[in-house]
Amino acid sequence: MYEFVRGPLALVAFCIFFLGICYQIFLFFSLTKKWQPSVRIPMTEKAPKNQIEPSREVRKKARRKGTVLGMNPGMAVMTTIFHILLIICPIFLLAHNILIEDSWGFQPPSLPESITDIMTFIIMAFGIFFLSRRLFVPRVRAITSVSDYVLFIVVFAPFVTGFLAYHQFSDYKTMLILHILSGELMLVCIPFTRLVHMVYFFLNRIFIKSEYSFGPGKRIWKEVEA
Amino acid sequence: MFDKKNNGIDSQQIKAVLKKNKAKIKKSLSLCAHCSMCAESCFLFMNHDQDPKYMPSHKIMNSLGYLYKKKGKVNEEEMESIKDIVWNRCVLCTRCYCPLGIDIPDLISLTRKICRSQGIYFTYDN
Repeated sequence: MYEFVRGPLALVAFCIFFLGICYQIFLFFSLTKKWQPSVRIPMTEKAPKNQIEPSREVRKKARRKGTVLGMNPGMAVMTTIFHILLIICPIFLLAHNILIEDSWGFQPPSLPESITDIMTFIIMAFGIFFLSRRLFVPRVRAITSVSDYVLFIVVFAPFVTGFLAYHQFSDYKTMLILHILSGELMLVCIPFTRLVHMVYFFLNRIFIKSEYSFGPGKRIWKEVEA
Repeated sequence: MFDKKNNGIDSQQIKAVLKKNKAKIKKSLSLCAHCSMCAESCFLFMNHDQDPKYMPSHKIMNSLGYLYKKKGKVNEEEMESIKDIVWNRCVLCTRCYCPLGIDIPDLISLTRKICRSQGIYFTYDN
């Protein structure tokens, strides 16, 4: 069983993950088009010279105030840390990289086990925090559906089982298999569920025309003529 | 032309608008992580004792999201409730902010367009 989930099943999960991500990127560009600015009518009157314009700093401050960072800095910082840990922890985990070395003969850089152990603990603490928000904060509960709880389990199961396996709190072999299976399930789910925001966060915020765009923002969604 | 079962609501017409904007609607609805971080960006939410009904994501899910889920097959009563959401719970000030980049005002505006196509407009009290 262990050899199967670690070998062919892992390969299938990684293939679905990477191909799924490529498909979503392709889908984004096929569903959007370049934005054509409308023709501007030149202004006939010039602005008076004594007109007070807000300074660049004031404009920047006002712009930031409208974002999550300006309105809810605590949550903005916490969610950013959570997402960074979620990506860094499994990639730089020593045990994962030893498995890569066993299979392909090279070992990617790893963080000390004590650090990744703390990271996993922090991720699980975030999990408890997010779950409590879903359960007890009225505004979050109002828009929560069953799928949110399912995705919550999909995302946190690999970390909980990995933590339990590492500390050998129960049957190591079973926990290890559960950890690998839950990790593979998460990989498969990312491109085809709401977790696809991993890709669309960047695509939307960089390419879609918006006031809060991080990048050029020169694309808009296509309309299909009936 | 009008679907009599739905009390004068032309479901086919709604469906056509939904189909035309399918890419935007489908991606926006499936992307929403239900994080509720858009809440504070709505001044109506802040001024109504943080009532979740005024949260931008809640408004989208229960208006355009509902229409999309029902494929436009809604009755007058449901359209009236959508009208309440898109006109009385949103002033389209375009200040709502989604961390994932979902264009909430655009979706509200599209829902208003669908309402108008069915002869449902904002009405003043007097």
